[in-house]
Amino acid sequence: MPQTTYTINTKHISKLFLLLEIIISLLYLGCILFYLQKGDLFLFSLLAISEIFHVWLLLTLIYTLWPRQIKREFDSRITPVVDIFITVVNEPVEIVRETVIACKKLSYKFKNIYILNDGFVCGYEGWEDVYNLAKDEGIGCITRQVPGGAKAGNINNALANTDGELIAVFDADHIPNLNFLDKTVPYFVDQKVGFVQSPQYYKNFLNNSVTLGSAEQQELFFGPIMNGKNALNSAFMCGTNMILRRRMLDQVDGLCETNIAEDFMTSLLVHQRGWKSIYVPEILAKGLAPEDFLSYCKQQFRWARGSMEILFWFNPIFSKTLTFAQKLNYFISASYYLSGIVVIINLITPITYLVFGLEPLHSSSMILPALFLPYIILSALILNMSTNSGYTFKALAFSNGSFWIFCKALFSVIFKQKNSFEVTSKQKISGNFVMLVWPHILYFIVGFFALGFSIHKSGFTPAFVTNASWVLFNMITFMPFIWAALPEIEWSRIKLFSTKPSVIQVKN
Amino acid sequence: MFSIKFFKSPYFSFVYIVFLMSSVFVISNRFFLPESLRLDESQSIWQANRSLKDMLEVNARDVHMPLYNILLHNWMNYFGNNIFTNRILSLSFFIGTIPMSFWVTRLITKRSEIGLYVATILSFSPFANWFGNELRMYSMLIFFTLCSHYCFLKLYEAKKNNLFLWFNYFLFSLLGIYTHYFFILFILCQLIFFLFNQKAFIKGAKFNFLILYISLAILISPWIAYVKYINTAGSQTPLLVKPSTVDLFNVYSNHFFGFQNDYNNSLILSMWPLFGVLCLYFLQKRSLTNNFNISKSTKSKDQLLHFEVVNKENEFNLIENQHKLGSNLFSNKYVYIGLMAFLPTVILFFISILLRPVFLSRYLIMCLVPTYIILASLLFSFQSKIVYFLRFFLVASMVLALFVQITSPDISVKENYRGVINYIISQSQNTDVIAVSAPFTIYPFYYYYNGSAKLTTIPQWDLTTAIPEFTEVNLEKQMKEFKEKNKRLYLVLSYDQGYEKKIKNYADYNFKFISEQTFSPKLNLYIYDLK
Repeated sequence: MPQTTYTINTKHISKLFLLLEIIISLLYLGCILFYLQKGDLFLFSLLAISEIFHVWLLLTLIYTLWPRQIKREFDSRITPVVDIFITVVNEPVEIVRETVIACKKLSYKFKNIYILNDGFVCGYEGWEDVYNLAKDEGIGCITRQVPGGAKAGNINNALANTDGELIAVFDADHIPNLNFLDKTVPYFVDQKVGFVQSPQYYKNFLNNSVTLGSAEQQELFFGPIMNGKNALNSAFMCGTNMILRRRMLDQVDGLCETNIAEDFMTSLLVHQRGWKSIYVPEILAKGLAPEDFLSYCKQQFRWARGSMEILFWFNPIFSKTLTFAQKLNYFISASYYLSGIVVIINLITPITYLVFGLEPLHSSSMILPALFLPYIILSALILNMSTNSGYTFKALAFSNGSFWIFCKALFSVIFKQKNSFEVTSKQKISGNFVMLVWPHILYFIVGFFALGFSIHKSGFTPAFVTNASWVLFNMITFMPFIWAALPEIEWSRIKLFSTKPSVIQVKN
Repeated sequence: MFSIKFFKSPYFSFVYIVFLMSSVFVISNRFFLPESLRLDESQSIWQANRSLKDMLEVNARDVHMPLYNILLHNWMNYFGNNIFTNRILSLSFFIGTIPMSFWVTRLITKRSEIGLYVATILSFSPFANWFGNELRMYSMLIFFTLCSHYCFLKLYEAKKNNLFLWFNYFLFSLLGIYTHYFFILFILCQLIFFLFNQKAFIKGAKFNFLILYISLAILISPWIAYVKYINTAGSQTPLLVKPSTVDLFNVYSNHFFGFQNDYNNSLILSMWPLFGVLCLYFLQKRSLTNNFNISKSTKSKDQLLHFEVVNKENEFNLIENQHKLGSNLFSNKYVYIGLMAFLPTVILFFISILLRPVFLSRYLIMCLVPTYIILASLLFSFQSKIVYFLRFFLVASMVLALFVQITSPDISVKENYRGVINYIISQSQNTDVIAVSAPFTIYPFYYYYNGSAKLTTIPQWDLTTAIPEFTEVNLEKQMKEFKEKNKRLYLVLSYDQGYEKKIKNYADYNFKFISEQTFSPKLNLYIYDLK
């Protein structure tokens, strides 16, 4: 294919529809803040914070989704040398072997494959197996001797020992398609392109409730969000399935080793230096989702902590060289994890009414639901349409249920607690993870107590029913998350929350 | 005995629909047809009982179009003036609506089971059963609305010009408008849909619609001119207040759970947060649409080919789980039915706020089946145990609501005029006077009352002219006249038009109170000794 400049539209949802949602969400917020009679001032303040945050998330999502045109240069004739890095710590050799074989089969000719073996510095027995694998397969193996910087340190170490113009990075479990490089390298014809990212696809999504929940959560991020960021030159690296320009990495002294989310932070630094980023919304590699609840929680914590570190200590809003769109996009991504606090507010509000009779707002009319229901219906439609129905209730429940993890991450960032980088386990850790959802179970206990107490105190009044419905609302959104934490036998027997498709096709 | 194939066959659909139609007839026959005549029904009978010319004249003064009364007039000529047989006219349209709802749903969703589900909830809908048996135009309106949906959607699907379809659409639009003024709202929504989706219709559809709507305008203009000529339209209508957001929710609460007492209704409305979580639960795997559309402005053939490949692969859909329905869940037909379910309500709400209060849930009966179709489509768009439960729960709760509506005595729309009139007949003498307020509540008396006591209204009204304005001077004059000429006053108060309390206070202050009795919510009889 000769060099071309082509235009694609991120046209997906009509502008009219998005405008309608903007108007309704602002009316809803305005109604809460200015129209309805305020109740308890403290509760009202909390509710106001929570609703401002929700509407902020929605408006920024709409900003990201807003239909735009993107111009891209693409030239399949260019043939820079690509160093392929497969980062390995303690992953099973068989998993690594699959990735190595896939990399060797890549149709692009000008490539060198390296396993970046961190097993030695991490002290894992059997690190030599990976070395032997590289030897058997006839590829390079770079084994660090000096620890530090986690995955970023491992890649930086390899950068110093290689010289390819481009670097493709794969986690040990992410198997690239044959055409991965054919689909990504041609974008580097534009000398300003610093990196190209493709989606993370979890091929094990049907294994269990955790893998399914994780995969469905990714649909929103790797679907409309990254597409929108792409259109605004704000797509960021996601750690794997990406291809980077060495010159760009040299300018920022390699991948950032000081942040637990090295990919996010490095992208920020790269964008600050004026590099372009590209997101290719095609499945070009397939990996593994966290197989168990503990690994899922650790992964969420790492992402939340890394993002919030940026928010608190390297706030992109104050960057002088980022564009407005980039500042906003980084801020949006990082601030998402503050939703943990907002969920807590939403949990507390109906309970305070049921137990203490305190409410943030007084309203005898149905004006609030008259605005809330269109607001939530349109929000759900936007989520549904923008992700081709990929983002599900389960995904939403997982995001909502992770509130406690986000709060812990926030706490650790504020108090600068040290947390080590832990690779998401590629093998299932069996066990009962109920202790990881103790806040959720506690909410059920407190919720039922509050319902009983309130019925006893004032009976079935309309106000009771509304607040009880809110408590049930929260409980229902927690259930898939709690289900996922229960021992496997239990939840696989009662698949209340699994909506298994009648026909499943996996994209090859 | 029956294989799964049978349950998916058209024979099963046919048998099931016949079963539903029979069930509706049985329910109506047992519970609704023998009910007391309600105010609105008595007004219909009173109007239809007159000569055709007189009937059209009183109809023009009223708020409604004349088609139903013309039909009722002829029906009564054939079958006689009997409430039971008169109500059969409305019931026939309601029963006809059941297969229509099936066909329209199947046309939209392409799935018979959703059609059957919609037909089921319609058959057991307390709201539909209420108006399906009422001697009013509402069951006819819903029937013509569905016929119009069917024709319009067929026109939308049509690949070539089909005059028969256009004629049918025109016919049902005309019948619809002559059934109820608010059918125009419905046509307006169809027009909006057409304007946004012109390209999806056949070539020349714009011209056809233009001709069709002009013809409709010409054909309804004689009636509008006649109403203008009479110049008192709406002068006999009950006083409606500006709707609140509660009324807005009551429309959909009524559509699903019918008429309930105030306490139950407020509890139902208070559960609105659960509706929010239900909306979120409907976020499930189902549809496939493109994230990206390649700009058509690109020129080279190679480029286009490349873009096509990119476009196909750009469908970032990590888990492909496409149900049959899924691919068209957001198709324009769903947009159409969504518009029909909600837009008329929103328009009527704002008309009532900004111009003139005309907001009543029965006027929005046109939105009933579209609302059911939307919900049923969602309930059938994916599979899970919860969704099976929700399907069952919806039907069960509607059946329960129907049962409560039938058996509960404190449903506000129940009007036991037969009870109060029979009581008065048994108690009164020719020296007594019966005073009815509001004046238009006199209609049931014309049907049931055959006693010897004098019958009048407060303010006094002769039924042929506009209802006179209420004044305290006239009230005093009228009451003094009662006192002079009669022994007892039977004061029947219902449909408060803002002066019920004044009448009651006057009577309490000036006459000797004997007794009072409530026959149905807000229908009270007060008896006074005048001597």
